[in-house]
Amino acid sequence: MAALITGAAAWVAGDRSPARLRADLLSGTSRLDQPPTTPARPEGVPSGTWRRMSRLARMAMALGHELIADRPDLDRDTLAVVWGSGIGEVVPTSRFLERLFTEGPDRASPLNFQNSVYNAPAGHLSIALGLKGPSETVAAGGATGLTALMRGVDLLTLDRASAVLVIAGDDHNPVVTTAHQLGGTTGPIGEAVAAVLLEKTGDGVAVEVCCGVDPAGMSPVFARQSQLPDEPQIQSVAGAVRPEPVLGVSMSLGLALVVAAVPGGGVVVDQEGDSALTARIGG
Amino acid sequence: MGPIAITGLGAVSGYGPGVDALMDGLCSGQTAIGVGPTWGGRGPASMIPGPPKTSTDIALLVAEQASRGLDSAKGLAVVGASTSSDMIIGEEAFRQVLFEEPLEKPDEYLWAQLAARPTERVHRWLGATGPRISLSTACTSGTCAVGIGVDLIEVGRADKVLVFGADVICRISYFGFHSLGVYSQNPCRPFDRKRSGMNIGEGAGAMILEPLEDALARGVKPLAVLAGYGNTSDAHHLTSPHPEGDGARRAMLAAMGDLTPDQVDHVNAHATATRLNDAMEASVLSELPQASITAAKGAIGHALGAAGALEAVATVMAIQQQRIPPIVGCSDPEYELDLVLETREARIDHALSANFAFGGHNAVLRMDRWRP
Repeated sequence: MAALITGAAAWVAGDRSPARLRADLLSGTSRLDQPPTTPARPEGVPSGTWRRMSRLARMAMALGHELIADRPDLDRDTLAVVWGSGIGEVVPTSRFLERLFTEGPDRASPLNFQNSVYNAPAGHLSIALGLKGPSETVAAGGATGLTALMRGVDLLTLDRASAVLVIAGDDHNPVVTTAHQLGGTTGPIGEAVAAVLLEKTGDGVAVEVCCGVDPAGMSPVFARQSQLPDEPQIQSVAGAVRPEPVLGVSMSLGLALVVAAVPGGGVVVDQEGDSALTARIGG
Repeated sequence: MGPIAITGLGAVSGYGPGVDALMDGLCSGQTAIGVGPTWGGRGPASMIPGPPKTSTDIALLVAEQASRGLDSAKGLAVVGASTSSDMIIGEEAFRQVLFEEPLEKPDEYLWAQLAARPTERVHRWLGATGPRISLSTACTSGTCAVGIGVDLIEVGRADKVLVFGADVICRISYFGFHSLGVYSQNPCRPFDRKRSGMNIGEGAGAMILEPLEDALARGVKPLAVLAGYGNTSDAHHLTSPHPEGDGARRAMLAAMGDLTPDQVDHVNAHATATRLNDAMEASVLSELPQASITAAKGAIGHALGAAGALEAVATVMAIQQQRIPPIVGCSDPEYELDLVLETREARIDHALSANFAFGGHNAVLRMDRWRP
């Protein structure tokens, strides 16, 4: 049975609608001159919880809330969360290390420590939205977006969950910029966090994920560029729409491309080094 | 999809490299928790003997051990877990940038944090042609890696899977638990009345999973059968478990599948030796009347992203040898459970291995004895 995308949203600079994101990607209209934004606290999320969350977790929370807040029919006890981040919670991590190195171990922050783990946003989501099903956090480098989507599809296929909230992304901050610069990345740095709700039935768009590069038979093809200099991607995708000129370089762009493919269908190719995934949406 | 066999194992821990070193060390009753990292000074830890290593180093080590019996990497998937990855290198690069010192490894600034790195290296080293998935779900990472490996076979994405968890101690994990006020100044004592918190450890564990019929067809005798997996969320608190163990219980029941509570012979418990975790877990385990319970963290520390994989390996070894290692550090049990305090011969047909994590995540594996 195919999985259906019954909800899709992305947190990117500017207008956040999937249709607008798709149009900008297809036309190559850059959003890089638009400043990053931070979401407002969604209704029902306690202010204390919100204060303790990183910006990345807040973006994930806003998207998760957007997709399921008006869905009382979803069974929260069996709804799974798959969170994906290529580079993880770098802001709490860097804050923890900075205080550790400048003030000593006894001044290290427990709040920054608990927020530094890759799966912190998944935990915040589960707690604030009352989601008690399986929880997974994948961190597959540049292929994180479609790896998270694949896990969501598989959890649904194997009946490990009644529905799956898949969210993936990395945020833009000075620490990431420094890392990219030191690592030799060329081009502007960007950010994107995206979310899809997967169900087996309902009003949605079919999605399949396969391993490898297989864009044949559908268009448009969205493909992000591998960023690891020592691991050339296994296959270039001719004629593909590239997200980097529009959204900037970011590891987990793959799921944002899926969101862009939802309004009219398309193929998304996500690869890093010798590992690649292809998602077919609609059609 | 039919049963899934475990046909290869790998381990490295404070007892040194190898699954025999792990099992013999656990059964010796001697702790491998000793002096912590040279830069530490805030309590003991379990360190891998020898020169310092990265998580990638030890992931490759256990992958080599576990994959010795494979005749091909065709169709092999790799699912790897780590919480700190190679951050022991990355945090030094961070310090050098912070204090404007010359950077020895500029490309390691932050990139060493990438949880994907050990999995990429192992996948490439093996020449695997199947999918690779890296994950980081804090202290359930290794357990979830095994569960995802099962899923990849069941859904038809892989013929066989190498799963592993690997973590070495870095400053963030060591001082992080210290900052939470849960780090013990003595080797930890799971389930003991005098327990005073946890110690972290470093290590890695690995398994080869494949359909039972494929293993038998190539003449391989399974070490055990991976018979169930449960994964739930508490939806309660980021760092404290649900006090009644709601999510842990649901994960355990999901892993048990068709087993009744009195059919579970053995549990390798998470047992961090913190007040809240052990009390919650004891409450859940009290519902398994025949289970003999052990826990590894008093012996090898809490190996974080590797804990679930290492403890699953220990559970397979317990099934193989039909003997249960003791809960090192526990001499005055607080709970009325069948806590194993000395190495014990036992009939083990059905066993569970449980782990719980930040974020309120719970993951439990069921492993069964294989009989022809």
